[in-house]
Amino acid sequence: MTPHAEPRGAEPRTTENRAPEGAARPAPAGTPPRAQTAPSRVPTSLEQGSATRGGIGESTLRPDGTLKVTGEFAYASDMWHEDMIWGYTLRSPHAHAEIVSIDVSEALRQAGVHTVLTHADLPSDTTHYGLEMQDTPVLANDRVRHHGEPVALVAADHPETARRAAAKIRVEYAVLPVVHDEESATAQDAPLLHPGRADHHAEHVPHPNIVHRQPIVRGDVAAGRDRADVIVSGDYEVGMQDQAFLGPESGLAVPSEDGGVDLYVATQWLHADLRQIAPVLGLPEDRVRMTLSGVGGAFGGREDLSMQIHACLLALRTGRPVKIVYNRFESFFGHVHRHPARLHYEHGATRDGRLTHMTCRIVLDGGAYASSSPAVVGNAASLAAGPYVIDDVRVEALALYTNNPPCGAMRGFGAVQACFAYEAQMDKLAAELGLDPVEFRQRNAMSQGSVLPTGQRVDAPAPVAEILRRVRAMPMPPERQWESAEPTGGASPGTAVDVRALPGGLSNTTHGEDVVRGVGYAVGIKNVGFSEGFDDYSTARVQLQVIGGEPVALVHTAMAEVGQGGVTVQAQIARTELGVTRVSIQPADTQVGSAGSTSASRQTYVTGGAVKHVCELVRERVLELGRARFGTYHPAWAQAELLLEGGKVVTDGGEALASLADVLEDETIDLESEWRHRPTEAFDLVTGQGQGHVQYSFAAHRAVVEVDTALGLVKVVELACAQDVGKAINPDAVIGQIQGGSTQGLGLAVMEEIVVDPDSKVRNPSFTDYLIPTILDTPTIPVDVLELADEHAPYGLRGAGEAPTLSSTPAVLAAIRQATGLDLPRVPVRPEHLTGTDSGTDAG
Amino acid sequence: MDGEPVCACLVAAGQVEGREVVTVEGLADYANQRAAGTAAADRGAAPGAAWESASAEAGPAGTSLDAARRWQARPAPGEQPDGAELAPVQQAFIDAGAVQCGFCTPGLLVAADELIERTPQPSDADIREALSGNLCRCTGYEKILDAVRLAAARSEDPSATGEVRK
Repeated sequence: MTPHAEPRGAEPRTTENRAPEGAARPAPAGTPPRAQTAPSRVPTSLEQGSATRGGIGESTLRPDGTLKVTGEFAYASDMWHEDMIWGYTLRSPHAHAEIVSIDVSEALRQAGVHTVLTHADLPSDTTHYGLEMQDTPVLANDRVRHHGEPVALVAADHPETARRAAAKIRVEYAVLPVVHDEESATAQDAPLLHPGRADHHAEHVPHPNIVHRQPIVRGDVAAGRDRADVIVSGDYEVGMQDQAFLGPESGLAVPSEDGGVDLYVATQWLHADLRQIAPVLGLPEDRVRMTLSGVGGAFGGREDLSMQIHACLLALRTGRPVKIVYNRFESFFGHVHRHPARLHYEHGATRDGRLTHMTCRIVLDGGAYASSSPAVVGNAASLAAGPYVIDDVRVEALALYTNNPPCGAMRGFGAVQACFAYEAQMDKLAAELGLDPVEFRQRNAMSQGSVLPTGQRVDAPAPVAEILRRVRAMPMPPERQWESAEPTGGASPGTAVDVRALPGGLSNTTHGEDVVRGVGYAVGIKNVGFSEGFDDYSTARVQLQVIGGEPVALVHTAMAEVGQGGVTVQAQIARTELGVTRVSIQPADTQVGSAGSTSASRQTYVTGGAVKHVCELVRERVLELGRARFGTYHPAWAQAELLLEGGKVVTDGGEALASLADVLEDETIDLESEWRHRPTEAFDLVTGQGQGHVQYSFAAHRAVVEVDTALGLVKVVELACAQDVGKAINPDAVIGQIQGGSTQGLGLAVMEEIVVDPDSKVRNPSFTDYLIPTILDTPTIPVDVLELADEHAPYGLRGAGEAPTLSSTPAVLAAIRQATGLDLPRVPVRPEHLTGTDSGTDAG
Repeated sequence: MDGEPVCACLVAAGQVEGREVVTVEGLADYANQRAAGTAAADRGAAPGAAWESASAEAGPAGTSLDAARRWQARPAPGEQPDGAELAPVQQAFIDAGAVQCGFCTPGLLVAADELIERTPQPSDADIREALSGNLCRCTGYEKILDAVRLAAARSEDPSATGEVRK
C-alpha cells in the first residue's frame, strides 16, 4: 500500500482526533453535508494533558510542538485529496494595461487541462471583493492595475501542466501610463485607478486617487511654534516591506454534494474570508465551509484573500478537489505588503526640553486596491505623535491609489512608519537642545492619564519613561566584541579576531579597521485590537465533560493559529478557569462563530477573553449542577465564591466540596458565546477627535551597531528591548513575540525592501533578492518584560505582538546615525547610503 | 533552463520565472501515466504511484510541492507522533520555545543536528555560522540559539549519553 493510497493510515493522530467525527463532539445544529471523501492532512485537533496546572502565567509548551519537530504538522501546502487537481494563476506582466482580448483555446487544448477561467466565467454578479472596500476584481476584467494581478485561472492534473497551459493563454494588453507616487496620482489629469467610486470614503477625499484621508487637529500649532526655542523638521521615507512568511499561500477546495465547497486554507481570519468568498461564488455562506489548515506565519499578509476564491471557482467548475500552492516568486505577488511612506515632520521644543507642538504629513502608498488602507491611515494619523505628550498637534495622513503593488496589513500597521519618523525627530531635537536623547524622551513621555492628539485619555498604565530607563540600564555588550569572542583557531583569546562578529562577517572585509560603534534608542506606541468603531468580538465554544473518569475541556474557536501560540494560551486559560488539566483545542473552522482576525495584537485579548468568558459560564453551570446534586450536604454550596481547581469544586478557603466527575456524571456542558471589548468610535473626519482605540502597547529598544564606514556594512551587535505586556499569559511565548518582532524591525532598518520600478514593476520577488535577516544578521536580543495590569483587559493583559516591531527600526537607525554622523532619512539603509556612493535614484 | 542543466533549487527559489525550462523530470512520466489511461488512476492507488515516481526524482519539476507532499506521505521512520522518543535536538526545540509557526523547523533541526555531531560544544558564533543557511521569520533566532545550546548541553550530559567527554 502506498502512503498516498491510505494517507490516513499513516496518521493515527489526525484520524483519531479529527473533530467532525470525534465522538466527544455533538453535531452542531444542521450538520453540513460532508465532502465526498475527507481529505488527508486536515488540521489536527490538539490535545494536551499537563502534570502541573499549566494555567496562565506559566510557560507551558506548545501543544503542536511535537508535530512540528517531527515534520508531521500539516501545513496548507501539505494537503492531499484523492482525485485532486492543481490550480494555477496567470498574472499580469504589466502594472497598468487595458485587456484587449484573451484567447484561452490553446491552453484548453493541452492534455491534462480541466478548465480555464477568466473574468467572463465568474458565476455571480459579485465579481469584486475586499476587506474594507470591494474594489478588487477576482480576475481582471477589462483592465489590470498592478504587476502580478490575477487575469486567468487554469486547473490541470499536474502543477507544471497547469503552469505551461497558463503560458499558452494569449492575452493582448494595451499598456497604459502608470501613477506611482503622490505627484503622479493626484495630478489634475491623472488616470483614475477606480473611476466612479461609491465607497464611503469617496465623498471626503480631495482626489479620487486618495483612498482615505484622516486629519487630526488639536490645540493651537501657531501658539506652540511661538513658544518653541528650537524647531526641527525632516522628510523621511519608508520602503515597502514584505511579511515574508515562510509558508507560501496555499489551500485545497473540495466540492461537496450540496453544490457547496469545503475550503481548507492558511489564513488569518476565516470569517472575513467567508464573507468575501461566498458572494463571488453565488453561494450562501452556509454552503462554504472553511477549516484552518496549518499556517506557516502570517504577520498581516494573510488578512486579505489570495487563492481562496480561485480554488473554489475551479473546484466548483470541475467538480474536482483543487489545490493551489504559490511558490516564493508568486507569493510576493499573492499578498499585500506594508505601505511604503513619505513623511514630513516638524517638532518644536523649549530650551528646557519640553515639546511645544508637532505637525506632520504622512503619505502612504496603498497601491492598486484598497485592502486595509483606510484603517492603516487611521492608525498612522492617531499614533503619529508617538508616546509623547504634545498639546498642539496638526496631522494629515492619507493613502494613495497607485499602480504599485497593493499594500495593507503588516505587523505594526501604520504605526511603524510614523515611529521611524518621530523617533528620528526626537534625536534631532535632543541634539539641537544638547540633551541626552533618552532623558529628552522621558521628559515628554506620556503616562497613565495623558491625552492623545485624538482627545482619547490613556486610562491604563503607560510606562514609557520606565521602559526607556530599563532598556538603558541593561548591561552593554563589550567594546571590540570581535576580539573578546572565542577565537576560531588556536590563537589566545583577546588577540584573535573572529571575523564572524564583524561587519561583513566571513567575507573577511575588515579586522576592525574603519569599524565604528553607535548606540541608539527608540520607543513606540501601538494600539491593540480593531479600532474606530469596528465591532471587534470573538466567539468561543467550550465543553466540559468527564471522559474515563477525568474531566476534559474542549475549546473551539475560529482563531487562526499562525504560529504565535494562541492555541497554547487558550488551553492555559481553560485550565485556569475550569481547574482541569486536560484541554483539547478543536481545529478552527467556520462551524463556530467568528474569532476576528489574528492581527492587531488582539487574539490573546479578544479570543482569550472569549474563552475566559465562556469558561466562566461553564463554571456557573457546573456550580448549578453541584448545588442541585450536593447542595443539601454542605452549607458551603450556598456560598458565593466557589472555584474549580484540580478537577474539583473548592471553596475560596481551599476546601474541596466535590469532584467534577461527581458533579457532571455523564452530563456534557456545552456553551458558545461571544465576547467583546469596550466599544470604540470612528475619528472625526475633520478634527480626528474620537475614542478610537481600545488599548495601547509600549516597547522601547536600545540598538548597538558596528559600522564599517569604508564599505557601508552594518552589524547590529545587540538589540535590547523593554516592553510592558500587562500580564504575560505565557512568558516564553511573549519573549518569542518580542524577539521575532524586533528582528522584523531590524530587517526593515537595514535590508528589507520590495523594490518597485518607476514603471511600477516589482524587481526582486525572491528570497535571493528580497533579504530577510538570517541568524548571522540577528544579534542577541535581551528582553525585559514589565507587567503592569490594564484593569480593562482580561487578566490585565496587553496585546504584545506588534509593539516591538515599531521601535526596533528607529533604534537601529539612531545607532547607525550616531556611528556615522549621517542623516539617513530613509529605510532600509543600504551600503551606498553610508559610503556616499548612492546614485540617488530613489533615496533621500 | 535556457538550454543549461540547472539545480532544482533555482526553481524553488523562484529564479526561473520568465525563463524557458525545457525538461522537467517526472512530468514526462506523468504524461505517460496519463496516456496509459485514466481508468486506473481513478481508483486511487495509481495516482499515488505516479506521484511517487514523479516526486522521487526531486527534479526540476520542482515546485517544492512535491517535496511537501512527501512529507505528508511518509512520517519519519521510527517516529511515533504519540509519546515516542524525540531526538535531543527535537526535544530541545520544543523546550526552548524555538518553534512558532514551525515551517522552518525541520531544516533547522537537520542543520543543528549536523553541527552538534561535528562540534559537540559549539560556540554561539559556531551555531550562527552553521544555521546561517536557514531562514526563520517568527522567532528572531534567539530561542533557536537557546535550543541548540540546550541540545548540545544535554548531549554532553553523561547521564543522557552514557559517555564522558572532556
